[in-house]
Amino acid sequence: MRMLFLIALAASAVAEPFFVDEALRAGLKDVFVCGEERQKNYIVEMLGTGVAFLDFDNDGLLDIFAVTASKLDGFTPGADPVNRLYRNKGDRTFEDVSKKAGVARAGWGQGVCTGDIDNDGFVDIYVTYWGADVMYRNRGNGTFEDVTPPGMGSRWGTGCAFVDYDLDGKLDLMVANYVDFDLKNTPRPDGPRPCRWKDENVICGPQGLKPGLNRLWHNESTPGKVRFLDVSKTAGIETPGPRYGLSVTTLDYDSDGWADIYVAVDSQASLLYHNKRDGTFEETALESGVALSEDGREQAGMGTAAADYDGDGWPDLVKTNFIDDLPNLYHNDRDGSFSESTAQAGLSKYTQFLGWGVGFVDYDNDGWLDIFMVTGHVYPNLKTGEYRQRRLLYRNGADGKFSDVSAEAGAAVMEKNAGRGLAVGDYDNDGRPDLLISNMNERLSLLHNTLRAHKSVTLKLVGQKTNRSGIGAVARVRIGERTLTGEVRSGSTFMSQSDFRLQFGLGAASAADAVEVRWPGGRLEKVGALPAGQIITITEGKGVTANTPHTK
Amino acid sequence: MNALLLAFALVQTAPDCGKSFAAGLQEYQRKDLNKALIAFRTAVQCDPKLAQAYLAIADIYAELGNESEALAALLQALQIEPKNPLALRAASNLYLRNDEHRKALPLLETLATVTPQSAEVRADLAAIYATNGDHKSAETEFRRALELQADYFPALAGLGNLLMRAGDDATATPLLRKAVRLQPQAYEGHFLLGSALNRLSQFEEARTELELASKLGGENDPRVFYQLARAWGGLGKAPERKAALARFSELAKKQNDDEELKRKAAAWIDEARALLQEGDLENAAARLELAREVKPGDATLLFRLAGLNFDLQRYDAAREYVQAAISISPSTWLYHYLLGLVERSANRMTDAKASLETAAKLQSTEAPVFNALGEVLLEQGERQAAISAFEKAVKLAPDNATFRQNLESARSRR
Repeated sequence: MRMLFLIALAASAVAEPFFVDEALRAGLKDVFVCGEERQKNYIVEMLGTGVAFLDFDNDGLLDIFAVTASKLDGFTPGADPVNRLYRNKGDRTFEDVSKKAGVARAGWGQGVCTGDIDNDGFVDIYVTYWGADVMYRNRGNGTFEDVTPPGMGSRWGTGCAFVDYDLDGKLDLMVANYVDFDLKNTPRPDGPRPCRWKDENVICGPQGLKPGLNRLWHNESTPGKVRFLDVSKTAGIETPGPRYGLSVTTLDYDSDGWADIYVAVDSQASLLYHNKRDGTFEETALESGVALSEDGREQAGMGTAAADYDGDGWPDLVKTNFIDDLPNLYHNDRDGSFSESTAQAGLSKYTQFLGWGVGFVDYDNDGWLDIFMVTGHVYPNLKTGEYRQRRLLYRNGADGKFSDVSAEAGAAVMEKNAGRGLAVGDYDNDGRPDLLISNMNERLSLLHNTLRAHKSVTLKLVGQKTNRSGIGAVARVRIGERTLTGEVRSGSTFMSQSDFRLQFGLGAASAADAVEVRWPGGRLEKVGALPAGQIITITEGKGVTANTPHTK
Repeated sequence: MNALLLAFALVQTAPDCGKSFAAGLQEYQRKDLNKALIAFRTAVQCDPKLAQAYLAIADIYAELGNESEALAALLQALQIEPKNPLALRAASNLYLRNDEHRKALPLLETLATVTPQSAEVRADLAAIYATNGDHKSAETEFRRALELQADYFPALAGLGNLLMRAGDDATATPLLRKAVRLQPQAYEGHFLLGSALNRLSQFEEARTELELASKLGGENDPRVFYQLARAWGGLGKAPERKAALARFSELAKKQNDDEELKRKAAAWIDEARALLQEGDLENAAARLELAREVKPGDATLLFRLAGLNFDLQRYDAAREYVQAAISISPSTWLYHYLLGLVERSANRMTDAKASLETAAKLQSTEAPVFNALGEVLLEQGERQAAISAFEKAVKLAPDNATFRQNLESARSRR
């Protein structure tokens, strides 16, 4: 009898949802707009917008920045939606400080990425636009100033990432550009010569429209003067020619200490810029096996993420794609090339989802990175197919295979939205990764992780000689026989920014046996054993400089 | 679509309509496809419910390589006989060839109920389900096809491919091996098997299969070289891998360029339409000429160019274009009508008469055709025939003052 009771208890424990949408409780009620809700006529209304987890006031709590676009017919004066900055109050609620901080800007915002461009210890923000992008410098007093260099980003910027590609200690900036869009000469679904998809009139593009050109900006700032120089041509970023660029993920895929850049491209081959260590890049996606699908098809690449999902110490890649297609899981073969392992990994079950934001996230802290994907269609008024789609949580089975555990995760994951952006971060510092999602013409979703499975250790890496944000630094955490690897990066997922801090699930272990940090450029720093349940700051050249316990 | 004509031997129709149909058959047997088409068109003018005549028209258009006209005729046949297996099969094939899977699907689903024992239909249905992402239905239909015909190559290859994509390489590979044994000359089988072997890291065998695929017809298929590069990579042969990737890039670029050209052609046609609305005929014609270079076999485009040149009074050019359109689509009355107008304007009345008579035969309900024919006949001094043509025009369009006036004028002429 007692045994049955215990089994019943265990069953109910398993059935307990472990992601709960706390957006409304947290005060995140604003709607983020991207074109009309029901009848979209142009491709600019399709992409949605990005979100960011960032600690702008250095209080140790993740704040939120959310981008909004607009509507083509505009709004009545004063009613334009604006980008929002929400300050984390420390009790799992947020307050809107956008106006006070000076970032409440209207316009057709798209993506966001963050990084400390002037190494002053305060994170700065870059927002891409259909129009002119904006660079905000964090003054360190809770406010930001617009320091956008003249001529920077007057295209259709989408994904972006800060990266110190030449190891001069200052963060440079990579921006993907989507379409050189001409609203006046693009057909509408309800107008003459509409574009067709599955026998229905739809938004035109990107095929048939003029692709954009990716940009690389070199940081040439001096104290008190923010300056970025467009080096796209000389650095080889323009060499592949115009592409429908969407998300930007930086990763050191060949482990040489120099940052490489992966760009997911819509309807064309995706791009991998290999850093030649002389200030230039060579595009090697085809040779490296990450340009196309497994059978050599161009895909509609949307979101990307990089991480070592199989524990071999090398970063792998995941990319989301259009509907009727599979995502790509590219396994790093450690020789400069990747093998597609989508089907073998169990990610070929669904083709009905159109993927956007994607992240490697160890939701159960078992030390194996799981995958979370945000989905949603681009055409809201299709007679067939679902515009709103559920999210996908794949659990890493520690054997190279993933299984769909979305239903177990709860209604918050199964909820259907036209999702786009995704940021991963632990906003309540409880040692469990949470998820922030932007949804088309809806409020944000804030998926709080309540799963008390295992403990983790959180590492905040602070550069000294290298960039202050620690972007490009790689941490290796040894637990017994296993070594977990994580890299600090800006941008990634889909036009969004995740927490810079690296979280390592320790599984059954109560401590990390050893930690090693490889700072950008390759300098190694060894740190001893670290206990579980801590947020530990490692400062370049100084070892552990702070630690704070996870909240209960 | 071949040898359909045997099926028409027992056509039941009104005697006069049957005469045209029989004439069409005779012309077809003589291999005079243009005359056959005109005869079959005349037959459907006479008896619009004559589904077999539409099938014959479709058959001839398919032989002439004019798929859009063939499809139009098949759809007309299906309006009359929605479950006609020949029409269902042929129309679905044409849709599939143009990747219009969603249009092919309902036809094949109907066909599957009409011919439940056809492995071919089941396999095609499965292929569409797979393309639409309905893998469960695809697998069911592929398996049904194999129950009906265990050695049916498309079903074996299709199911193997489906399972391989789902990551079930262990089940997929034997199916693909069997497919290759059945049709060793089909490059698709070798390609799929090579791809599956790549996934299983059996690179040496994969390379052999993929090289065979490239020799057996896959030499211009970029997918073959992409997989071949993967096999060479697995074997550690960097130069060979690089060469295969280079070939892949070359072929993929060509495919993309072709697609881009098609898109551009569509844009030029759009621009031409806008220019036409602004009255800029010269530039409209120039845009259409650009589009024609990309789509030389597009009869509609040729017809538009002919019309524009006619409006610009360039009769030689107009004649050349419309004759090219007629050679592609001989039974389209509008093309003959335009040719008649061109010839009349160029003062080549005998040719004008012949073209307008053909147009009238192909489309007996268009008053302007009879009016134009009347005018030409009058010019040639064939007053009675002209009166008869004008009478038909007036009968078809009793409110048209010009037609009436032409009739009265012809009657009063001595």
